[in-house]
Amino acid sequence: MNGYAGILNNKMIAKVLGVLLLVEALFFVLCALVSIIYNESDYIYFIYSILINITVGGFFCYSARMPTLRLPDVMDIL
Amino acid sequence: MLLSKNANSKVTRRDGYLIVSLTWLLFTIFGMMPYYLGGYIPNITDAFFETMSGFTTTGSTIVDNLESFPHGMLFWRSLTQWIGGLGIVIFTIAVLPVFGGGTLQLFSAESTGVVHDKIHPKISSTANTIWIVYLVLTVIQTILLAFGGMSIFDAVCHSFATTSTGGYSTKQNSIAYWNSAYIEYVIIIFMLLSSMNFSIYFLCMKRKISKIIHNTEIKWFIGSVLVITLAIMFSLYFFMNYDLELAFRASLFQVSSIHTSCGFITDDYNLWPQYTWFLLIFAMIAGGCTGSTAGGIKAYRGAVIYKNIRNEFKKLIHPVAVLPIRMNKEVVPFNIVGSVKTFIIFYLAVFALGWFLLICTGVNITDSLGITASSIGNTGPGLGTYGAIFTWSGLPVLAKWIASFLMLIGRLELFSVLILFSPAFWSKQ
Repeated sequence: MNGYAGILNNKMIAKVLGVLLLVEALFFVLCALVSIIYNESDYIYFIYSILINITVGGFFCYSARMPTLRLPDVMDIL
Repeated sequence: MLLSKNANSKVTRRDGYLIVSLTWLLFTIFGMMPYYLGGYIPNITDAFFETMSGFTTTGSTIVDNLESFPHGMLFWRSLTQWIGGLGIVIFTIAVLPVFGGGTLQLFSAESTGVVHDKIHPKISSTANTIWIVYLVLTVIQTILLAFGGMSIFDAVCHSFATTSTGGYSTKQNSIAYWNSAYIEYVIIIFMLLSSMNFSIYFLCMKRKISKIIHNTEIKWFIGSVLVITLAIMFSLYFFMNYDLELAFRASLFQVSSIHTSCGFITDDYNLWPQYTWFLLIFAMIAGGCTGSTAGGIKAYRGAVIYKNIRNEFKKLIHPVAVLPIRMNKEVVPFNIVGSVKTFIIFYLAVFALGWFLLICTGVNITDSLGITASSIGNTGPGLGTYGAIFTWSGLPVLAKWIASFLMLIGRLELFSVLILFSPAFWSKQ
């Protein structure tokens, strides 16, 4: 058992949140495409947002693959 | 893709509630990035507010210069509503079935309503059917709006905002910009369709039309929309010198928009007689049907409470009578009636607390009433200074954070978020 006082499945929580952030990055791709279609320069802000989401979402997903995940471990990594 | 196969896929109810609340919070924090990084909304409070208002399908805005936004930002603004309308997690369950054994807990934690209709035995199939209905409604509306003279871009954005009952427009004047009866009637129809329980579309596909006709919740909802529309229509016709068709259209549009928690605007109801404000506030609190994208208390709960009160009167005359409450010709179990009562009492208590806190931030009593009802009911426009044709940019910073929190707890129907503040949630017992 891991997680907060052994009552939460931190790995699964990290996995789901990680996947959802990656899904949000996909939505940003759509918006970037709309910007490009209309020949507007704001697509770059969606690219930045995609990179941020992939980094954080990827980190969450990677955390879920670690043997154990405890809050102090996360704090150490951060 | 970094999908973690090693994680134990078991998700408990606790995990479900925590995941759903964190998801909405994280989606908002990361979703505000394009506005903030691009400088379109250079203030973190405002960017957070705008994004939360989008995802929760509230539709209140702090943007005063919408026409200066580029297409990408306007599209993202509307897309936040479309994603949030179905529910971020449900949306993902439908499109990417990656959550394994945790799907049921996540679905239950995010779903609104009293009883969750399982269209299919498998939750992912249920989510899939809901998603298809949602997509079909959006596509049909886009085509109809494009026929009415909207550009494809505006038609898509407004369809996103209608089927999600969100209310974000691409124009500062909202739907009034087009001044088209056709567009208004199309939007009225789709606002109403989107605020009905999505399981009725499944019944439609199965040709069980009689079940839809006899659905108690739909009868209550449509009845309420019609009664309030007629009351306001007569007021506009007799006291405001509107012609009959315009009075009907303006009142039907505004009542549908507020009752379904959509929030589109075609008329400044601040100029209407004040008793109509009361009716609109009632509509904000009442909301749409369970299992839809609408906010508010929901017609199902309203009907149960009405029938419960009626039974209490009957019991005064027949003390030993057993008087069950029936919805859709089926008896509602006592535990469901109990949870409905608890929800409504809790909703009103949170409403009162939110109203009080907003008054404390310096917002006047009428405006804060409108903001509270609008935020917790995920409607959009408020009353007075923050009413139909005004943005919420002038709200104090603290009030924006309070309103954002009210939007979140209103969208997830209070308990899914507020349970995290309960000591029992964090206790092993």
